[in-house]
Amino acid sequence: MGKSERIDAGTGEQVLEVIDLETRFFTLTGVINAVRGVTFSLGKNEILGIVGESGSGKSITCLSAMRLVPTPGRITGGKVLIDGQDIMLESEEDLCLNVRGKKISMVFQDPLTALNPTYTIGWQMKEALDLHSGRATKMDDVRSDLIDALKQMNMPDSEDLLTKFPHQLSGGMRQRVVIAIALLLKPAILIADEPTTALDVTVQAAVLDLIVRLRDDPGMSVIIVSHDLNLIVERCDRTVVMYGGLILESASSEKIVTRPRSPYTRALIHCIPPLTEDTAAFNAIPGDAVDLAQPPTGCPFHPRCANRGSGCDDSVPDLAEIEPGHLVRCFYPESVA
Amino acid sequence: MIKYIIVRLALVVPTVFLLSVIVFATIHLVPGDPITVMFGIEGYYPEEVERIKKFYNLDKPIYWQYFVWLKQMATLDFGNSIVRGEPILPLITTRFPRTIMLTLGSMLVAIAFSVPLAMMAAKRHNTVIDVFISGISLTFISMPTFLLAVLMIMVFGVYLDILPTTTHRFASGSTWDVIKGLIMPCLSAGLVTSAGITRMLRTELVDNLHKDYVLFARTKGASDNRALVFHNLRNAVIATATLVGLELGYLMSGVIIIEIVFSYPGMGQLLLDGVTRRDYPIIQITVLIFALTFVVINFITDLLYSVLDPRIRYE
Amino acid sequence: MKRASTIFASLAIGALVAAIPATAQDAPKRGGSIVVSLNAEPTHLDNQLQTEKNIDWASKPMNAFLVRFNKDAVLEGSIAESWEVINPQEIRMTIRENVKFHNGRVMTAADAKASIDRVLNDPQAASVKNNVKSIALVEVNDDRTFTMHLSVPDSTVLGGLTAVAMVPIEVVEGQGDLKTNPVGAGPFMFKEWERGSHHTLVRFDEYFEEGMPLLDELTFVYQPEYGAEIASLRSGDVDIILWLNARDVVAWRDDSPRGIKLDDGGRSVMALHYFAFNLEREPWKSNEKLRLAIKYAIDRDEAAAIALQGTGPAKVSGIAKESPYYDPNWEYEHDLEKAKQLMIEAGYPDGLTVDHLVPKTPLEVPLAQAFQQQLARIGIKLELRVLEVPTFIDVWVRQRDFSTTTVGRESWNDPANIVEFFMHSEAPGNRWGFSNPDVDAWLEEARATFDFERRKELYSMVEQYRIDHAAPFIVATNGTRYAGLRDRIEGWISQRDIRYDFRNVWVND
Repeated sequence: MGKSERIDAGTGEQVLEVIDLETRFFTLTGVINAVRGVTFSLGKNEILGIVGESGSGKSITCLSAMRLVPTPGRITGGKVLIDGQDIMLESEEDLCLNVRGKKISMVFQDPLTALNPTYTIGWQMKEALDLHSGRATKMDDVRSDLIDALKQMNMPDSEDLLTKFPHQLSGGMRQRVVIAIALLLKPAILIADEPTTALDVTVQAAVLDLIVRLRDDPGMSVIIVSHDLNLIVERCDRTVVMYGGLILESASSEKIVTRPRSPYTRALIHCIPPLTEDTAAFNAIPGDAVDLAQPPTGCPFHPRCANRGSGCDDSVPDLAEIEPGHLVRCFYPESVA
Repeated sequence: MIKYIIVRLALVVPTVFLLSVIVFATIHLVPGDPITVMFGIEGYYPEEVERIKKFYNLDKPIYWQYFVWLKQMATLDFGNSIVRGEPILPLITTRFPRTIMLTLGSMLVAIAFSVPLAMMAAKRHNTVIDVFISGISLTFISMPTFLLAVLMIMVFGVYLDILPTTTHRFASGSTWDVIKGLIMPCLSAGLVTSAGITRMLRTELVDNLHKDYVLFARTKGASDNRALVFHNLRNAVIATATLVGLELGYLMSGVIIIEIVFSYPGMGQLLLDGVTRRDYPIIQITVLIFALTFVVINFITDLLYSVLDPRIRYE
Repeated sequence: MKRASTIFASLAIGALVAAIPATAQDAPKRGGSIVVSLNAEPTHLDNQLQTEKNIDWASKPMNAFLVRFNKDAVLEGSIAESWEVINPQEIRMTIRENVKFHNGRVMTAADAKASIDRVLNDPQAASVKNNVKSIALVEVNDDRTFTMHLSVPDSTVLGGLTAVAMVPIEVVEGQGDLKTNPVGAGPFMFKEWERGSHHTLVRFDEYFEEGMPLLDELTFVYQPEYGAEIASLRSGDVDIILWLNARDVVAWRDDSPRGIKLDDGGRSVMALHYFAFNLEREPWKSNEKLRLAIKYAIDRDEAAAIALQGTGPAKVSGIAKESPYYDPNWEYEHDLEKAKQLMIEAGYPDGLTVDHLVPKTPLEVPLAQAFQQQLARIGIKLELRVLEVPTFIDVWVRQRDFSTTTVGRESWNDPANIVEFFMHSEAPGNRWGFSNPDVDAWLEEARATFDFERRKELYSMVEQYRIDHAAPFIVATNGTRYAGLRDRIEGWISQRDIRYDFRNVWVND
């Protein structure tokens, strides 16, 4: 894994490059390798999907990309380049003032918990502005800006919203507010971590559409993280499949769906219950999700893998480019159908 | 909200009334009356004792005495102490502020110690610092206030000799004397109280560390400390406020011991003195004032709770 | 006018002097202030209306008395210049001419009359009145002379007058009492009383005894917690604590903490701690053999050693060996075999279970525990009922709901205060239902006679009766009060009557 495995999207300028990222959690019971050398990049105006089960390391990868790993976790290796600059080398103050919220933002799974219940929407929006201007602005001076930002999220009755508390809004409205705050300083990159999982099905599509539209206006790059492969491949240009802290497959979304090469990806696709059939018929992947505290030797997926062969439990296969733009980490990849 | 306040206030009246009945009945059921106790140590003079009892209406039935007392209280006449033979009101007005000062001072100490410690422990949770702070908290929680007070006196009052062990300069001295007199009592009561608050606040803070709104604030660009104070602490305080209110009530009763150990001239000493001498009017009024203060503290805690948590305020 | 020297003799008590000599040859110096610790706040400062020792200690320095016991426990004049016993029911007294009250007015004989009358008439003064109650009338002869007419011959009245403070009657009439704003003729003047904390007295410059007092200021602080008192003494915040625990006395006797010294123990010559019977109840009422069994089973030396840790002596009577009233014939030996034999004779060969009421005090509880151990040796199972003092008083004094009890008393220098107080059938201290016509007659005669030898004989007969019949109580020991002092305190006198005197105290800085 020491070798740099660079993935180029092939669409030109890269706004975010994650190279050989390693993140570990040093708990009292032992070390957990949450991210074990992850490399990917995000092109300008690209929508990248990261998919994986819980514990695959996808969320920690995103937080690491902002250098926000919660204690007792620590980034132990690799680089994160934003606009070509390695944020691992920057000071914490610099990151707060110029990177987080300004160049790269993030929205979370549960809009109820993402907003602080004790402050008004206005206060929380204004905070984002103040943090980067380095001073406390007056509400009167920024009110119109905040209202504009909310309007762009298709929020009705925006003026009134500023004095409301999060619990006074519906789930969909809250997620719009969260996104509005994330976009307030017009960052180039937005990471959306399970942005719709906690929402009603009726508003899920609307919020996702809203996120996808950001590519064109104001022209952003977006990472959508989800456990839901269907959701990812429908909206994203490219999809990265993670398992056990490793990328197992990476390709354009179309290829992932039509020609998955990793047995894990294949298994994931088979999990998706086809809408037309009886839901009871869908196949769950056999076995338990990987335990990161005691990962199996070799390929982390091999205990559950249908293609498992000799050597799978010995060493981790390299992430190999088996055709242009299509990377797979497997000794026995699926054959092309 | 306003309706809630009115209901709460209206409930105070029957609470206090019921309490006064219980207090009155209890102290009259306990063996010993002020006059017998007063003379009993040096000699019992039945004739004189009966004469004085009659003078104070102590020979009348309890319900009769109660209604006389109630009538008196209705006109805000606190009456006279039986054994001291002087009006009670001035005794209360000089001591009550001192006890309040001691209670609030102790709470101030408790908060001043617990908030930074809890934040330090939460920030470095599951590290040596966290374990160390937890250990200290546990030590103070299991330490009786009395023991801590005696240790303080031995260390600061006797060996280092930098703080006074008596309160006569406190009671009629300069502001500096008052502060010096308050340091040890407030530290003893405050440190024990701070331990509980530290532990609770630390748990809340650690729970909140991984809350999305704290992380979200960080992704907005908030520094570690800012997120800890403005987002994490702000929410942890809501749950802890209930504990602080409770602890304030405990402190009110806890300062009775503190007042005795430090010879602090407050309400606690007055109550103890009243109980040992069976001075009924003093016991009744001090207990009622303690109870009323308790009720008021609870009330303020409830109000504070809704001020701190908008989810309650708007429901 | 003839000095009544016979009275001196009759009331003199040859007690030991207990003064601490000044460490250096330093001459007493005027000035300075000291702090004395009291273990409870006095309920008021009106010495005449005292109901407990605390009030006396707190207010006595402000008061002067007609007569007083000196450090040798001999009665001497104070405000009174001289007196004469005209007959056993008439005493004439002349007061000094230069006595002033704190309000500046010169005291006259009319004040003496008013002060005594107040004690006789105010029900709150019952404790003080008990010692002078035989005064029927005080007659003012002139500005400086008055005559006390007694209802019965009473030799204890002069001793009783040591407790009657002289007060300016116009102040008492003006403000009702002297509880919160005391005015007297004593060496110190009231300055302030901060309730719950302390009261401060200052030197009265016109005090009638030349050159006294030496101190400028005397502050009493109230420290209910004994540990706090000790800490204050050790840190020097307090100069004197009046009563040390036996444990500290033992520990400090050889090696006292830096800056602290012990006095030599103010042993009250009239003090006793005893095992008493409720003679209104069986089996005590009729079974004398059982009482005697307990008497011989109690090992006084052992009990004193346990309860006082060797700081107080074993005693057979409330009248100590140091007192001229003491009679060696009272002594008897602890005898366990005799006690066991008496148990059989009393009809209790298998023992019995006995209720025992104990006040929760540092001295009575261990003493009662010692009794419990000792009586177990003759098969008596003492069931201790330890009660908080106020509850104890109610149960013991008012309800008289006890079978046996351990309790104590300290008193002033006349045997009447402990012997008559407890054993006369009408006495306020007789809580045992003890009644014996012979004893009553002896006690009445002892009070009536001014002849020391006769009094001694009579009190000796009463005590002998009590010891021989083990009724109403068995004396085990007396308490001894040791004061703790800072080294700088000089001129301190351990009083024989536990009434502290600050006139000669000075500060050697």
